Amino acid sequence: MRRYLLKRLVTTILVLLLSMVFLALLVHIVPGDAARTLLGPRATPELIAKVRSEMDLDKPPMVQVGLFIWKILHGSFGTDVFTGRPISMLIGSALPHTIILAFSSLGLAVLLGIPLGVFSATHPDSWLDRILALFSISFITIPSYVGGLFLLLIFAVQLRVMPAIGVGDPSNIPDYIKHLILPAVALAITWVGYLARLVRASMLEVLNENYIRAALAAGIPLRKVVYKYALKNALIPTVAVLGVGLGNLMGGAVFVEIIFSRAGMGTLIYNAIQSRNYPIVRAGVLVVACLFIAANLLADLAYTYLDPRIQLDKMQG
Amino acid sequence: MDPVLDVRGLEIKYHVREGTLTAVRNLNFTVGAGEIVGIVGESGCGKSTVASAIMRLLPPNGVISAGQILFKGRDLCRLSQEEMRDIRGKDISMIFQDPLTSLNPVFRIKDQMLDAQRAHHPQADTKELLERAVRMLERVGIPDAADRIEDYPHQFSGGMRQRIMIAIALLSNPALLIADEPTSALDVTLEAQILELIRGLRDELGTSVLYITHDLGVVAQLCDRVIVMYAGNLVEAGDVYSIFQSPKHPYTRALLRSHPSHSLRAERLRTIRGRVPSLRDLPPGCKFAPRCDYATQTCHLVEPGYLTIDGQVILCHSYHPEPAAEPAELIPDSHTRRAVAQAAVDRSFAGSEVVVETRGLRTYFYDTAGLLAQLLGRQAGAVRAVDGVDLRVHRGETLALVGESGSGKTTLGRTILRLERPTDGQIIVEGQDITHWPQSKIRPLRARMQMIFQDPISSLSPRMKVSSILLEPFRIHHVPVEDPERTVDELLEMVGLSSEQADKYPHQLSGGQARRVGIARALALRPDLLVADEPTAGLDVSVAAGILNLLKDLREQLNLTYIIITHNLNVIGFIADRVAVMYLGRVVELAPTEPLFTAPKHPYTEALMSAIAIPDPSLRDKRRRIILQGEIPSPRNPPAGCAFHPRCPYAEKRCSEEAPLLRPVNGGEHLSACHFPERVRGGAMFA
Repeated sequence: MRRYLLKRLVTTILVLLLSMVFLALLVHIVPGDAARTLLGPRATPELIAKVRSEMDLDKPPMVQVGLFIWKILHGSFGTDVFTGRPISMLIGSALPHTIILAFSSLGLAVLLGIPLGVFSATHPDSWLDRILALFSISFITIPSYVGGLFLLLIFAVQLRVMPAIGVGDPSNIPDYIKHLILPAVALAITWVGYLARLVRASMLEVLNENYIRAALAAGIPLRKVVYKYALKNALIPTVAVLGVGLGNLMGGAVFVEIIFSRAGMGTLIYNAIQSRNYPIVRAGVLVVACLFIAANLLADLAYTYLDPRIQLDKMQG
Repeated sequence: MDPVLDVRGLEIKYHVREGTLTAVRNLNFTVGAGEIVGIVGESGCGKSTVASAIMRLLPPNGVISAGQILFKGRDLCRLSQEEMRDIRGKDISMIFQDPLTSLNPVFRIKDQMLDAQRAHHPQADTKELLERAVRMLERVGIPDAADRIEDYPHQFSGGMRQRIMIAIALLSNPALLIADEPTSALDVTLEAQILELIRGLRDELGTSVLYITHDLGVVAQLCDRVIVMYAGNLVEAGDVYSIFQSPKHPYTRALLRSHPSHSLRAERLRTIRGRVPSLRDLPPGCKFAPRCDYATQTCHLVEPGYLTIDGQVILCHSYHPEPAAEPAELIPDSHTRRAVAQAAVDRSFAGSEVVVETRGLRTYFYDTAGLLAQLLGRQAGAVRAVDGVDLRVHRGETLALVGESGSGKTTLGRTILRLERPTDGQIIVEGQDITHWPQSKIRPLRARMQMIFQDPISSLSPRMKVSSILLEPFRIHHVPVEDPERTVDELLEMVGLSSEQADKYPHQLSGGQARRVGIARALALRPDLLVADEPTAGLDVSVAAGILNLLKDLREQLNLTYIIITHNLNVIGFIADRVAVMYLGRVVELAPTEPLFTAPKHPYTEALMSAIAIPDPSLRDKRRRIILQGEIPSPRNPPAGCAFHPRCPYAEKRCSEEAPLLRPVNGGEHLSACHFPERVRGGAMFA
């Protein structure tokens, strides 16, 4: 286990270094002078020169990369040119909203998708199973921005039972949750359908295994056999998909945050890209990359919990 | 005393798309207290369906359509699901065929044993249940049970897992244990251990056992009474001694005759003509009539009733005493007569040309170590699958490689054909050293050295018709075929299949037919050498006998050289000229077949032979049986000295220090790698 974590740490550092190098050079990949585009056509040459030196653009590219990494290692993403606030503060206020959104929709997907899948697998080819299949497949085909728009139009505009925009008041929990419901549902819809199909397929396979027959022959009650003996096995392939899925949810969160005007990472990065605010784009993307890596690590650890046959030490880190 | 289990007029049907199939018909039998009753029959005879029906665990489309299953006087068919659940695992337990997949891989043994007990004693104290579980594991022979109960199933070997299954089944001291082929997936030495365990537990706990198997040898060694099933019917039932000594039903007789253990020197194995009928089109009269040598008009048209003769029940119209001489039509075809005529031919090959030779051949498999592991200087571990083998195979000879799983026999066969890369040593084919030839040079050679792979069905591409499978070798080796249709027909005829099979896909073939197609494919380019990996594994006795006869006929017709890889000593007595017994990657004994069987000179060979279950119950007590302790060690880390010494009954200090060389015993061709070959008394098999 420790070996595995060590290996994992080494690869994580490598991945982060590479993405930092890429992000530092990002300004040079896009045509045009970064400082000039950021400040707009009416900026004075002095101001441009000042911003250029703040962004280290006046130094050779290798030095820029080095300085970028150096500053991040010291906990600084720099200061935002427009507001003058440290970028880390901007991220700090946006990040929790995104994480909460991603995890609540993941939770929704798991809480709905897995039981639906189990039900379908234990009642294969019943009419309910067929209806669920129809719904699941329809759900899978609904992208979060389409689902989000419809939810917004129906529940916020027509029925007026839900707030339409914003994250609500973080200190007022019921209000915050109320603002969270529509975006989380929009983001979860695809995954509910996906998980239901996935769990159904792997449950059906597991229910045919000899150890299930053996458990029934030992007189263990059917409910326990299904929900304990079969489900734990059936979840193993599901967790692998969830690890990647969490990253996918982050991507989906960007759209949903824009539709519902939530002040999250998605909105932050989106606005920064529009104004070519490179320092914020860089910092934002780096943070999202970290989240992605963490999500995959979590999935791998969940794996070992579920399947004792997987020895992390033997896995490639 | 009332029987524990009393099955009366049981009928089981399966609802399928085409209609309803009757899998079991009018079945009557009892299992008395403390009795071991065997149900024996070929695949598809309904024996496992009976087991599932007793547990009321038939698949959703299966129903018990008539009859009663009385367990201690209660009819199990009338119980509710909840009442039945409480009986399962408490009063009736079951163990299954494949121990590797019968334990849940993601729960500790402890949890699985606790759950099995809590299912019947929800209020019980965990500590007490745990103690009981540990005691039971100790009873079935799990060392360090108190610690190992914390382990997961994958941390145990196959034999150990079957022991654990038995421990779980016996936790609540059930009145009846149903064992569905519990040893079919295990090696012979493990099978012998498990059979001894089941018998010992019966003697100690008085558990009744219903033992389901296709193996006549196991039945003879274990059971008190036997039920023979054929196509869903009980065809004969009686006491084990009478059934084996004077079988009354033509099917039982034919089945016993086709068992290869009777035929060390036989020229040909007896087969049963035709094949087991499909449940979809059963004959109207006696189900066995189309294959029966005594069948009359009546047999074909009218279903027979039960007759009782000398205490044996048979399902037959008329009882025929065993004829003194076999009727001529039992010898099936002209090949036999030719083979019989050749019986006198001396099969000794010492002087003839060597086709294949290996010198100090080694094949190791290395673990893949990650880049980081290599940077950290960790050495990759090696599995020593083949560890120094010297062999010679002469033209026209049949050499058998025998050993249990993990002995390296398959790897050796594959390495000889260069399907695996040799780590060290030499492979010499017809005088040329091919060890380091590039694959491009090996390819033309492959046309003349073919392999028949282990699993008959999965070694045929499921998307190709038989005809294209048979023509593929020509395509691969760029050999032009003038008349493809005729070539296919000829090949099919050679292996005893009709030309109708050419248009079928592999899944439409039976196991025996698929095996024959595999042989035909290997023969397509007229090879000189054929390496056959477990040619009869997974086949029913009568079908396997047909395959062995075929291999023998082809050898005579085409002057083939065979290397036959098998774990089944029964098979090779009939066909092999010489036998190489392998243990942990090395040949431990190499000898002509007859001396090896009658006077083995290595303790491992002796143990293997004494572990074979022979279909003769009278040998049960007479035979000196050596039951090896433990299991074959890991080829990753073989024991020092003689690799067999930890399990050897004759081992001394020297054996753990010095590895014995393979050297002649009594001079001549009989080689043994043992320091004390004279201690082996052997010859148990045909005593």
